[in-house]
Amino acid sequence: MKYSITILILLCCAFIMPAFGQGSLSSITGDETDLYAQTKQVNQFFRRFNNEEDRYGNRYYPGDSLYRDNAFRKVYLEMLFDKESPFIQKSQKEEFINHVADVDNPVFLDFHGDNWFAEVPATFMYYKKKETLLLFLQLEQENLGYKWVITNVYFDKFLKKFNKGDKELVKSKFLHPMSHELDFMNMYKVFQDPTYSEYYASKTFKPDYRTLLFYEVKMGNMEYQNLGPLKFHFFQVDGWYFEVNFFNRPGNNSGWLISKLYKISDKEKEDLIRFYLP
Amino acid sequence: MKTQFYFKSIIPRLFIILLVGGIAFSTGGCKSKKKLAQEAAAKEYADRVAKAIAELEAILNDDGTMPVVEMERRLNDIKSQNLNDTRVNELIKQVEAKIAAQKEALRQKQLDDQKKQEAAEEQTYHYIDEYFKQVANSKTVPEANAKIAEAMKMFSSPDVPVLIIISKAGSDVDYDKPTTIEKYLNYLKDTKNYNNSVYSVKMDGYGQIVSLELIKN
Amino acid sequence: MKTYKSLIILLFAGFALQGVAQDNLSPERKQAIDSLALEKVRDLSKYISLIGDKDTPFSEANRVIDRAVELFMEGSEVGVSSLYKEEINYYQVREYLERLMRLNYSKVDIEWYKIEYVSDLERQPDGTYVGVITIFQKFSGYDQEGGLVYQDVTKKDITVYVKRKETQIAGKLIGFWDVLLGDIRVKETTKE
Repeated sequence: MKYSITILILLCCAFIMPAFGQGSLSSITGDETDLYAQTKQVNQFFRRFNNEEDRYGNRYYPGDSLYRDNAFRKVYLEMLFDKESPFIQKSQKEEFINHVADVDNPVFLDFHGDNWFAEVPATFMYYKKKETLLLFLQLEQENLGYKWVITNVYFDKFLKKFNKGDKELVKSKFLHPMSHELDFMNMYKVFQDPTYSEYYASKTFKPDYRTLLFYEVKMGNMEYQNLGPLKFHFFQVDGWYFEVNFFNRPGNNSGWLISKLYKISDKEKEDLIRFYLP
Repeated sequence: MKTQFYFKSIIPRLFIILLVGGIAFSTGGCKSKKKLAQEAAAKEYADRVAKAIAELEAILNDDGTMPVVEMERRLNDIKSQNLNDTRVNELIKQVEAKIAAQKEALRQKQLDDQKKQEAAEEQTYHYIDEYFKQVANSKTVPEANAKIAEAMKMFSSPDVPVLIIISKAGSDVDYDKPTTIEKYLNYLKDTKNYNNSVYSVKMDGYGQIVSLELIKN
Repeated sequence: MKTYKSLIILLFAGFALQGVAQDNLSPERKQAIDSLALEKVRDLSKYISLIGDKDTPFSEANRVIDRAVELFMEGSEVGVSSLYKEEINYYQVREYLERLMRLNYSKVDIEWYKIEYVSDLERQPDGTYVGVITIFQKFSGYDQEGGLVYQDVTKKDITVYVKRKETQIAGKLIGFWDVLLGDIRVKETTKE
């Protein structure tokens, strides 16, 4: 129950546009301070989080004196938070920074490590109506390298078809154990009310929304239109969850930044990850 | 006393007789041959010395027609005869000094030639570099095109391959994608970016470049 | 038969080792490749400036478009979004450059910020390295009277593909890095 609330919270924010710049620089002065400060790529988010580059973006290599330097990390980590986010408590942020930049047991982000996911809203024409669904993706190793793969689809239209029905009714949705003696003449019940059809399936049944998406697209019932703003979910720091969004705005707090930060239990982490990677 | 005197006087006399008789006995048979041989040897020696002196003097007086190697060969020939003649020894010293001096001069000349050649090559490379810079720094398109047409004359064809070394670490040489001189010159015109140097040049019998290797500065 | 099998296994092991070995490029070599990739992006920005420049003769601009297109992997696209319309509009690279050439301003200024951000090179399943270079451009359009009528700053995230290839040149085997640009994401950051 607790995890579904967490998911709900996360989902509520899923469709909120990232905070695009309110207004613009009144003049371009040629001052590039903001551009240097901006976390311009997700790649830079990783490098800054781990202190693997200098302030001009030149990368450090293992063996360089400042590579993953702890003191510098704390400065960078502080910069990597969206300062306008209502979802980040100052005390939690400090606790998080102290945790990941702990001298004895530092935590680094790993691009090739598991437990981080991309989420992007995608617009489709679904039976001639514009609909937005969420695509979840993860990096997967293959042969000599890596690729992004779709791990799950979240589409309320699909979900509604598999919603939890009336509990009392659900209880009566089964084919009794002697049905075979009657040549399963009661089979019609399974399909008579499709709302409950899946309850006649074995208990391991789990709807795979990716199959539905691909099927509908193949059938021509769904047509890809466009993408919305991208975000990332990170579970690489034990006991913590954070979300990263792109903030396209002037000032020195822009680019890819942590916009949400939560402390989570192992169980919550497991449940959340199952949502992105069923 | 008398006997004593006798003995005293007879022993040296005998000794002398023996001594003289011995000499007469041993040499008496070929006395004239020996002398001839001695004379011949003395003459031969004198000839050899004279020949050596003449040769050494010839070497010393040589105006540069005799190669140093030949001088050295002749000197070694004379030295191997161990003539042990004061004049010859003196001349040997002089010739040795001359040969050493000539060798040093030769070495210096070779060095100079090498330097000159290197400088000449460098100048050729520099010359190519200059052309590339001029194309890159042209203010107008017609100016750049004129420079390109001029530069193209150095190459055997517009398709001469141009290789650009981007890094060199031991045996690992990394290149940029090979291009042709025509494309490269136009690239310089468009990007105004010449940040390479000529690394190696291959020319054909007509002195036209058939392949060019550049290296990133 | 047995020899065959071991031969095949050996061959595969060879491939796998080669794959791993190639990934362990020294930082120096990586830097040389980064610089090469960066140079291609700088070349592109120079081409863009030339194409946009109203003083560039039509024939020259067309020739430069050809050269610019040669920098790209076939089928590469430019995805453009604006501050107020985040929906992405897609253009083929040539189409994008031709639109730039035909823009209806009397004078166009295209300036590039000094900042260039180069990502790591990551390998994709086929072994090709892929990276992203981010640059920023200021575009200004002027009317006949010389008045500024449009200005924006865009962030350009440019895909770079790097592949090790070999070729024979005059009987010599040359190992080179083939750097090709890919899709470009153009995001408006400020507008006037």
